[in-house]
Amino acid sequence: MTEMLRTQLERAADRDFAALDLDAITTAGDRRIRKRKRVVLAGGVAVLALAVGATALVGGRGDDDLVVDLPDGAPAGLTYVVGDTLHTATASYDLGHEVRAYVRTSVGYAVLTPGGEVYSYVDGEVRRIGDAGRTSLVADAEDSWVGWVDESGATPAFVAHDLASGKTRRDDVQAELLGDDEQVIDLAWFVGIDAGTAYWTDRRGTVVLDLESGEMRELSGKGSERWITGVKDGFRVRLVETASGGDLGSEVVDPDGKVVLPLEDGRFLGAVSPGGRWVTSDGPVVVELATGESYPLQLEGSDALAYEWLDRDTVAAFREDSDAVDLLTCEVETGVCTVVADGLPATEGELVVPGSSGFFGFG
Amino acid sequence: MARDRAAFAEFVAARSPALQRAAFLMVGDVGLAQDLVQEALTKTYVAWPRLRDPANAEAYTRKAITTTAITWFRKRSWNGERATGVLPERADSGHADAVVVRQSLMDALGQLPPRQRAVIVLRFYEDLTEHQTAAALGCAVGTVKSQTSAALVKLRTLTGDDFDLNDLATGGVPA
Repeated sequence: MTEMLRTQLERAADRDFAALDLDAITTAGDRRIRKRKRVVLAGGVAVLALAVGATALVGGRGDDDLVVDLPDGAPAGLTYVVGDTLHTATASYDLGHEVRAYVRTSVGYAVLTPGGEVYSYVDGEVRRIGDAGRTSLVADAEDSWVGWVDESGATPAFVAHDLASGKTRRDDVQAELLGDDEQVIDLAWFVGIDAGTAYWTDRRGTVVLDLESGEMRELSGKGSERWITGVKDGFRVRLVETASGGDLGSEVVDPDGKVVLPLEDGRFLGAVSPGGRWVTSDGPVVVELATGESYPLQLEGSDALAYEWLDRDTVAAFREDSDAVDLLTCEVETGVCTVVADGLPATEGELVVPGSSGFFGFG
Repeated sequence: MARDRAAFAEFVAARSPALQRAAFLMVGDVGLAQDLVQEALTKTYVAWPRLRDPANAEAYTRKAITTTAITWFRKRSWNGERATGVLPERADSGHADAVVVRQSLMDALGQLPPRQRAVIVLRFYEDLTEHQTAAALGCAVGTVKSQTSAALVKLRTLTGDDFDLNDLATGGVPA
């Protein structure tokens, strides 16, 4: 007896299904919305929202004589901080300061305390190198520069500091602080540092500074370069907006400004890998720029995210359940992931990974 | 369109049975199908304010089901889970024929590559056009045509003459 394929498919699909758990769907969705914001900021952005209630920073005593027995430079590999202790895969180090955010560079680490002080950890010595405030730190892990937004003065300023030489570059933030109704008007953010070039965004649009020469230029006023959320080896991750300013997702352009990974509606991208082959995305996947193909990472559970490139093809990732966080390293091409640390505190602010302000908190 | 939970709940109640059936045909397992639809609806919920029109929600969810199923198949292949390629013996009685044909169809579907399986479900169960199928898969219409042809040939080979595929190929296939 011959039958239409359609009829057979309908008969094959005639099964009993349990009712879906709507609460579980919306709860999971709300969590992903919060995580999406983290993905964007895990690309290495230090955001300054010039908001009501800005207060003077609490001055702290700089422990300039503190010596911390960190290994020279900042070795590649997954690191994390809990409280005032930096952990690597093989050792732990007392930093002498509570940590709100930190970054890894080629010569050492920079740390932001809850009080807004910035310290460098280079060659075993700790030095106070500036004040930030509520924003995070940015750095190029393959270089020695670190950046932040200094809110300690009358006018906020973008600050880039070379941990190797001590040289500092400053540029006043150009943005209107508050409107008459004391609501936020402008955003300013230090996008990142990439191969000796700093990128920041304020009312001017995106500004690019050659850290060596001090030469500055505006990448663009408004339009497509307005919201760059990450930069690596010249590849820029950009937010794409609707006409009314709603976020549609992300795209990636190459150093010449050509779109190499177009927008996919609802997909938000994070950090480009060294060499520009991959970019992290909002979920346990990595996307190949040249092909647009998604490479899933073997991370059990759905609440997982890749957040920091450790080398060209290895990415650090976390997975979270309600009680704890595991940190893993993943090889992108195979998707194989290895646990480096498990059972870490899941409470926001207790666990800090490089480039974030608190454990994927922001602002 | 703000994240209207009531509208989303209404959408889920109205469409989830059909979505689960389509998902079952794609993955061949009831529990997996429910997980797939739950995942796809979570993505739809997150995207709800951007969809601009609730009518877009089903197309969005269908695309999420399809692309997630294909990703899951790839992950399962890492664990060595592959179709065995062995079809059940066919019974001789008329009553048993219907059950055996059903099982053969699901087995045959399970032996198709993920994209071909998705194309069969979208074109012949969901009754989508080639353009709608291409949108759900995120590929070109030409790819849908070639994947459909390859899938039908393979289904014919695997199921023998249980299905009137010739009829479908000429008159039954939606434009």
